Amino acid sequence: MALIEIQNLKKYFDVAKGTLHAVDDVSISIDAGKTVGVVGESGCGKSTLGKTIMRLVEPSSGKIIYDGVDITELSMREFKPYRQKIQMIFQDPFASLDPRMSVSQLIAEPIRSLAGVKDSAEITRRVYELMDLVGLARRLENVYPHELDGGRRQRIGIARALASEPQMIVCDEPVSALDVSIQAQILNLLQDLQKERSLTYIFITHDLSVVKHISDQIVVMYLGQIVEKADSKELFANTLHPYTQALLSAIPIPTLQRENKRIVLKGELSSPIDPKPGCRFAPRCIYARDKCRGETPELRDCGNGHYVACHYAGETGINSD
Amino acid sequence: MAKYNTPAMEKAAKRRAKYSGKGNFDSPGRQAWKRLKRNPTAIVGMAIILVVLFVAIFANVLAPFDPNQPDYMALKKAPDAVHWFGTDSLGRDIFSRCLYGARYSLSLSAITMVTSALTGGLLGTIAGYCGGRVDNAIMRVMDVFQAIPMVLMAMSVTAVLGNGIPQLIIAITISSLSICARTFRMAILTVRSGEYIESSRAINIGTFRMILRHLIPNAVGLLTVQMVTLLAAGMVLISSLSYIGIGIAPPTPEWGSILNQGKDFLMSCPHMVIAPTCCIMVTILGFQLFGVGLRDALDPRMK
Repeated sequence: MALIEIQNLKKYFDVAKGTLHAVDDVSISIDAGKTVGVVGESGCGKSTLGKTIMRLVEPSSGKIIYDGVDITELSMREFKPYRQKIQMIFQDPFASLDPRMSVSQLIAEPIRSLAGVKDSAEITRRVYELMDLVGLARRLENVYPHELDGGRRQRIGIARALASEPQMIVCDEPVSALDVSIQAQILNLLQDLQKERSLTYIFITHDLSVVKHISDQIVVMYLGQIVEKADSKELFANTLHPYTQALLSAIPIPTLQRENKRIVLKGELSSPIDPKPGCRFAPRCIYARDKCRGETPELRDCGNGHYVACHYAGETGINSD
Repeated sequence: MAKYNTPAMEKAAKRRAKYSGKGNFDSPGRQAWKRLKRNPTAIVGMAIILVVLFVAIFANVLAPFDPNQPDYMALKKAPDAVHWFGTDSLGRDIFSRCLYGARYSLSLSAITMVTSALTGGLLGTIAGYCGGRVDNAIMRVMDVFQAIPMVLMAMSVTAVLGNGIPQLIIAITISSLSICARTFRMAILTVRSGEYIESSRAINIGTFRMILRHLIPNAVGLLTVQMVTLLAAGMVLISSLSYIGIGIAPPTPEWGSILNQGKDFLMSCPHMVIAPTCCIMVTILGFQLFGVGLRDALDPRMK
């Protein structure tokens, strides 16, 4: 059974020019202990999606069913205990840690506020435990985050998220602000933690290569909508949506023999404010036809649990091979 | 102990020692003090403030003459060995008057800083924290206040309330209300938009602790310089009002009122205005230098 089920989630923001469709009708279901990768470029609503699950952003409509309970229906008071079970790792470890708190203070905060521990000796013990768990040396306990490198800072962020022993963690681009060499360390840490504690991850990123190895399922978003959703292996073996194909072609493959066909997307994201009907990717799609501009493609099942929102997916010329 | 050839090597060695040690780290306050000590301008500023403070406290001991005792045998005397800053038109010793003046200027500007930070600061904090309509309502009223120049506002208030020290404090508080509210609001808005506030919300940090542990500590750094500037501005305003004769009434030896009494003899006896002007200038300089140094020292990212 699914641990969390996001159903038809929508988040619209009212802005001066109209309504901004940040998240538009997104449905994802995640089984316990699995990782779902949410991929898309900046501004496609993937971070908003993550924050909505934490109720840092209130959804406009839709349901988020966690363990049988629709958490969007709950009052803030009723929801707060759920933050023990659902936690979040933030994108930028340079900005998401209070610069005036030391490492131990930062990690102690959620132990106090979420796990509800009041005894200071117990808090210290748990801080050390978490520091060991995420690979932070104990001598760093009184150091301030600005004195540490990005990888160590993100380890603090991970320790904070783990303080209440959650079942699920929303990882909002946890490695995108880090150097490539450190990215691998953090990803390995996240995978080890998942194995050890059977965590469920929603892994938000703009980099397909990052989620390739750790995700069970991948959701590709474009302008607030899901354009393709499939098991990780299936998605890479049989890419159906032109946008996913373009993303995939952007991953550098270190081989000498194969000639990579790079699909370069032209133009910018079209505006998410009051989007016109039709496929939102159409203005940048090399295969776009008249139907794409007039008719919104629905997310349809192509078998094998592979869903795609494209009128012509699977047809000759658009197929990945 | 090994010898280091360059300062950079020495620094690197210290850093290594720091990170390999058993974790002997200073508290944030101690770190801030260390940074402050290393900043020469801050030290100069602090020295000036301490001297003025010392003078203000021990004016009665330091002053060679009674500041209010006229000496009709020594009218309008130029500075000499007896009267270091000369005497005024009534023969009072200007040096003694300036020493006593530090008392009035310093204490009054400190009090007005606190009162305006409490009133204007509270309004600004509420506006910044609540946002929306509350913010709009408070800040539009503050706009009205700001439209009136500070001196004019203070003059109007004293015109209504009359002369006197409490009235003066109220007048200056009202005239710096809008500046204070604006400064606090900006600081709260800047801090509130930080991602670490959102990440604190994600771990259920309550409103009270959020304000106390996250918003205020981070806003303090932004506000110190402003507060010190406010103190200096208050000092200038008090002196200006006394100078035009509606602040502290003579014969109280406040710097502004000493200036007021000297202005009629500006051409013939310039020493009567030069001494109190220098007092005001140097004190304000001291506060400004110290304020800037303090801001840098309070920010743990400045190393």
